[in-house]
Amino acid sequence: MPGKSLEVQAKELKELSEIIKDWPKDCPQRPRLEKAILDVGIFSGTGNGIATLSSGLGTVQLYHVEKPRESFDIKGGEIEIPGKHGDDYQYQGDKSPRLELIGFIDAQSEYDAIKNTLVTMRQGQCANPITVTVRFGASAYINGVQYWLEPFEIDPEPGYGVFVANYTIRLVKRG
Amino acid sequence: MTTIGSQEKVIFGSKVIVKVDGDTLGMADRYQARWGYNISKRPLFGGNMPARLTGSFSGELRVEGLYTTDNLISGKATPVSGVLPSVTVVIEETDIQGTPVKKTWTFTGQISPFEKEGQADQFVIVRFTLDLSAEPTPT
Repeated sequence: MPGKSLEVQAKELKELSEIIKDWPKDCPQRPRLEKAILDVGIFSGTGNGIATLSSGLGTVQLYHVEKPRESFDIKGGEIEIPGKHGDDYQYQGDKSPRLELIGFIDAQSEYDAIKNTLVTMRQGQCANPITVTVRFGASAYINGVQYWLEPFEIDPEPGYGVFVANYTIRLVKRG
Repeated sequence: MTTIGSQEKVIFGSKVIVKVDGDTLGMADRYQARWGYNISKRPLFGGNMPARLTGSFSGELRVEGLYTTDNLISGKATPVSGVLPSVTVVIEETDIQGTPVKKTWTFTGQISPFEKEGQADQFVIVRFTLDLSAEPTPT
């Protein structure tokens, strides 16, 4: 943390310590403080996962997100006219943006959180909307946006001595 | 802090014995072992530092020596009922202390590949690689 006053450094160290404290204890990637200082960009003062899904029924932190893929489809109309090459196409509006959170877990506690908590959150998402935050470093570029939770998959990976599984969590933005 | 090693604890090549399934390889003159766990580095979104996952084990022991007409090793590289047999190679290393200390390293695995090389004006050479099925154990 070069170039920062001692007071600022002390404040940031305290924040980092609190963030690390919340990481799952069984997660092998749980950073030590010195690593966190070297790679401070992956942390945020407002939470500790790269992506966070929360509702009145629970919170799931995703620590190892590889690809938060967004897609922006449209509603289009195609009209086929006999004798004419090509179709008539009409733009009818945007579809709800979709978000796929693709990443992996390396601890059973993360598996439990995704499997059990997300299912509970999904079952009650009509009355308890799910809010999603995704961070690029400390920048929450998807910040507290409500999504519908669609099907999600957990795909365990062989060849590791810890609980490693890939996941894909699909979401559709609420209207 | 501990000092690792001393003049008397080094091991000279002539003080090494290689045994393949209990048979002493009389003319082994080189061996090389390497083993470890694959480190899977998975990049994360929003950071330069990848997550490091400890992956599955792999290792091998390579032995090279002069080939003899005993012809005992090549048979161990042949499948039995379709399966390569498990072979145990023991390497005994003895240092040069007043009361010599012997360390025995036990390697278990399957031989693949088996190599044999000859040349008109040279001795015939034998090499084999033991694909390790477990971490070697020193005793």
